[in-house]
Amino acid sequence: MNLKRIIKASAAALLCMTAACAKPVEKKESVSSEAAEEKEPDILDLTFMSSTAVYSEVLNMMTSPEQYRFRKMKINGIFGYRTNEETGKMIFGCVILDATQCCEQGIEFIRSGDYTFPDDYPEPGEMITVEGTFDYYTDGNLVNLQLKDAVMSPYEENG
Amino acid sequence: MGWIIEQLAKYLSFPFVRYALITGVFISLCSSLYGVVLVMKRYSFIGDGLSHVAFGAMALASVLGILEQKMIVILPVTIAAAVFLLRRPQNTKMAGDALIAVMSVGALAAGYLMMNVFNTSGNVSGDVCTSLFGSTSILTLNSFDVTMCVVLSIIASLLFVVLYNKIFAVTFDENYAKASGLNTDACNLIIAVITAVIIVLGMNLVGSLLTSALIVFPVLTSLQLFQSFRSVTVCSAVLSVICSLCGILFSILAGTPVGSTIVAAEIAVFIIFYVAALIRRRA
Repeated sequence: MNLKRIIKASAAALLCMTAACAKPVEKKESVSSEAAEEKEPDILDLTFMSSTAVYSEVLNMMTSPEQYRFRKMKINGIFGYRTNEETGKMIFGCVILDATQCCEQGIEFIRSGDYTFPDDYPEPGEMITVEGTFDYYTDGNLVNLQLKDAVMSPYEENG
Repeated sequence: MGWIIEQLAKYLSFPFVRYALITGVFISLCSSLYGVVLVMKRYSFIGDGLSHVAFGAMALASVLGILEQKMIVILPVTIAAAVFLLRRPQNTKMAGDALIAVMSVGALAAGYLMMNVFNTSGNVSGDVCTSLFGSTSILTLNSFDVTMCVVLSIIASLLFVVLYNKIFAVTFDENYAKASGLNTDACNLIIAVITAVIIVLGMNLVGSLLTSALIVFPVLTSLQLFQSFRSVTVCSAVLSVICSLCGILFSILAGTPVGSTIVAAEIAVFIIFYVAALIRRRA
C-alpha cells in the first residue's frame, strides 16, 4: 500500500474531525433531543453516588445545564452559605467535594416556606441532603446552579 | 458482590458512566498498540513531553474561550510538536532529550500561568486537577467528545493493523527497512502524528501527567512474559483495556480519582507479571 496515500487519507480524516469540532452547538441540540427521548427517572437521585461520580455529574451540569433544567434532583453535600454583597441576600448552598477534596462545586438551594437563619439551618460544614428542582442562571461567564423549591434534611446515607 | 452489581446497574443508568467506559476501552486499546512501538524505539519519554505540550494547548483553548472545541487547538499543536521532536535532524545543537525537557516544562508552566492569569472558568484548581491528573475528565465528556475519541481511536487502531508489517520493520531496524526500499520517513511521520493523537486522547482518560503510564505500563508488563512483537502487542492491548475498565469502575464505586486508579491497576498488574516472570525463570 502506498504510504503517501495513507498519510494523505489520515491527514484528511484528522482535518475532518477537527473541522467537525467547530459545530458543537448543532450537535448539542441533537444530543439534548436524544437525551429527552431517553426515558429518564422521575428524580435524579445522586445520593447513592461516590464523591468522584457526584462531582463529575455536577461538573456535567455546569457545562450542559440546559440538559438538566427543571428536573427533580436529590443530592448529598456539605452545607455552606454566603451573602450576596450587592443585594445583601443570603445564599445557601450544598457543596460537593471531589475525591481528593481539593476541588469543589456548589449548588445553591432555595427552600420553599419560611425559614430563618441560623435557627432553621445546620452549622456550616455539616452534611445535608437537598431535594429540589434544578435550574441555573449565568453571572458573566460563570454558570450558577440552583435547586428551587428545595427540601433540606439531615444527611441520608444511601447505598 | 450483590451490592456491587446493584450499584453498577444504578451507575450505568447515567450517560456519563457509559461514555467513560466506552471511551476508556477505545483509548486504552490504541494507546497500548502504539505504546509497543514507542517503547521499542526508546521513545517512551516523548509521550510525557507531548502530554505536557497538550496541556499547554488546552490552557490556550481555555483562554481563547473555546474549551468545548478544545481539540481544534490541542490536536494541531501536539501533532506539530510530535513531528518536530520525532523528525528533527539528529546533528543539531540541542540534544533530543534536552529539547523534550524544555518543551515539556515550558508548555506546562505556560499552560498553568495562562489558566491563572486569564482565568475564564472560576475553578482553576478543578480544571488543573482534572486535566493534569485526570481526576474526573473521563467522567465529564459530552457525546461529541466521546464520538471524537472513538473515531480517532478507531482510525489509529486501523492504521496500526494496516501498516503492521511496516511499523514492525521501522521499529526493529530502521536502517535495514530503509535499505529494503521502505519509505521510513513517511512511516515515522505517521507514527509521530498518531502518537500525538493518542497523547491527546490519553489526556481525557488519565490526565496529561499520567498519559505516559497508559503507553508504557502495558508494554513493559507484557514484556515480562512475552517476547515476540505480536504477542507483546496483543497482551498489551488486552491488559490495557482490562486495567482501564477496572480502574474506571473501581474509581466510580470507591470515589477515587479515575486517572490514578487506572495507573494503580496497571502498576498492580505489572508487579504480578514481574513476579510471575521471576518464578518462571527460576522454575
